[in-house]
Amino acid sequence: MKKKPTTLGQIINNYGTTFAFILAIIVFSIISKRFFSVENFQNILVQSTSLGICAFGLTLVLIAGEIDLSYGGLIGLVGAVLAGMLKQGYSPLFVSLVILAIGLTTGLLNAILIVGLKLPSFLASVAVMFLCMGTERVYNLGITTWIRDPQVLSIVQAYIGPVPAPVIYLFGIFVICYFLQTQTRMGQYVRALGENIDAVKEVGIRASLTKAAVFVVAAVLFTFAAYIETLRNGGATMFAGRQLLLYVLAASFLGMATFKAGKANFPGTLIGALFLYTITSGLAGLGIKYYLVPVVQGIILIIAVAISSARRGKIEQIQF
Amino acid sequence: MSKSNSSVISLDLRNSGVIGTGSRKGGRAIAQYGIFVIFGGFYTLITIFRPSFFSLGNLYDILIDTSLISFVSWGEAIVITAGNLDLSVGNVAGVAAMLTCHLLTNLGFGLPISLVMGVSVGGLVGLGNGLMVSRLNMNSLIATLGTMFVLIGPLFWITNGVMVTVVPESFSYLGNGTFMNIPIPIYIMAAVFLFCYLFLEKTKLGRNIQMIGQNIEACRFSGIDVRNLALLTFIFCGLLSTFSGILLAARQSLGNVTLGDRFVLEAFIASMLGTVIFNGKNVITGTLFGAIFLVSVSNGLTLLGAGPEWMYFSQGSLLLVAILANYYSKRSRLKITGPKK
Repeated sequence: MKKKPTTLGQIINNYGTTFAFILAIIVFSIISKRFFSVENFQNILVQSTSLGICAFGLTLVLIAGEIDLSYGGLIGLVGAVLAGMLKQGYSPLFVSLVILAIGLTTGLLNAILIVGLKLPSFLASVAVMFLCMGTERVYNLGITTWIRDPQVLSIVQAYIGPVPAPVIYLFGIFVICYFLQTQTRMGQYVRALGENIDAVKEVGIRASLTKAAVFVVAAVLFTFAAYIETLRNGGATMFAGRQLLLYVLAASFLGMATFKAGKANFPGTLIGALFLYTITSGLAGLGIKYYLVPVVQGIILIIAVAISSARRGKIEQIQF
Repeated sequence: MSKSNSSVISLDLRNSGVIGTGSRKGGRAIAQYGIFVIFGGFYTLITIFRPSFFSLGNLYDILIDTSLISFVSWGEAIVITAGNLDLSVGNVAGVAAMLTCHLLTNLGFGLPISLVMGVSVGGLVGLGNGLMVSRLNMNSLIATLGTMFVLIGPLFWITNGVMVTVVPESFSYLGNGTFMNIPIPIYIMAAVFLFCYLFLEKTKLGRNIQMIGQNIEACRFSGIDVRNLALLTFIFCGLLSTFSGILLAARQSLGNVTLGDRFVLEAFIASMLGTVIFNGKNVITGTLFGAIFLVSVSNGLTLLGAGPEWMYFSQGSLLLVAILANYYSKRSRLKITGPKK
């Protein structure tokens, strides 16, 4: 395909969200003196870590042309088991292996339902989300469990130089995901799956196996996000995943409107996640009512996606 | 997400009796009646252990709870029929209920005005959702997610997040009163059911909405106003969501900000069950059954002494049953004429 010359519309399409993000930082910095400080940026980065890592998992699935909402339940389940088993005195390493196993099992379950039985991913993953939520409730009966072991908590509270440890996890995972997706053959196959699955099959790539792997890897990323989220909260509250559910979706969709209009990509998701928490932090610093924060976030999401989808020319339906 | 382009053609052929015999028909029948068999078995088991399940009082309880989620489920079902999804129904229900309670109790408006104001919120939000999907071509999942965020503002702004205990008796009569020994919500449910059923099955608009869901390209080529019909489904969904919210507030005589939260997933499960129960046809009746199944399963489990933690299992399993049935009924349909995927 021949490359068309770049137009202003395309620039707004691809970089509009990034400009808006930078603009938001500048505006908040001018209005509020407390916003532009190292501590505040550290805060924003640390807060967006679990959201970002979870959204990377979702982005991977979106790139492969499917969707996976099971993290809404998986995060809560992982947190409950993590806090519960630490309280019972198991060693942190053993507990980490157990929750990794839980993540892998959930990923496999998703893969079996969606790739094996060919169920629509949206519905199947919502069902898995419910099953995870049920397991969580049965495991801890909805009681909040706190983690008190300072050694375990140091995983998220440590600093390396001026940089908080979670920020390193966030950017580390971002770099790995971005590199694997854009620079390796396997990553290109994943993109190809989302673009044209029939062509992928014709070329002789094992489409089902690749897609199954995508779901398992995504579930591992969700598990890691849950690990960070639980430790950062200092314990497991009921249905922790439910609060993240919508924000992760919003971050990924914002990402779809960034850099590659209409297509999920990792840099976009990173910007999306940081953008959401920049708004939260900036508006909180201005002393605006707490319930106006989601309003601003919602409007930004709508505008960003509207700009990137207005040129599509026809209604996009969802296939169940 | 894959498209099953052949579904319209195969439906026509099946209806005309040209094909679809023997084992292929069997596959559909299993998918279609399997759900009834599962629920028949479940009801029988519960009745054996807890005979009070089939008492008149409990049946009324089930029907009243069904009525609360039926409106929002029908709204969601109509949107799903046209191939979209509405995530904002829960917050629409919440805002409508809070506004109605606030107008009635804190500002002293009359019942009719408060109800009209509450319901019109749904119309407005539905219009917004519909315009985003039909005019700006936004994916409905993303657009309504945005609306869901935005609605959190008014939800808390109306009373600053404070719960409203409703004073007027006439309002709580809507949810708790009886007329000729039958609870009022059941009358409302029957009336709305009849309206939705006639609209979707018997009017040209309704038939066209169903066709959009089947094959939007074919509709566009045959001159159906695809965009305005999609817009209409969202307005419908918004209006119906407010019914559920306001009626729930009337039943509790109380409006609070978390009131609508349950509706999103319940409406989703009920309408998904609804689209498979009659094999993709007669969605409104199917959704009514879906809502009854959903409510009666949690009712039955509560009677059996299961704690709230088992509700999520039951809802998740119900959803799995629904999509498995949907898949098998679709596959048996595709086998007739569909190209190999």
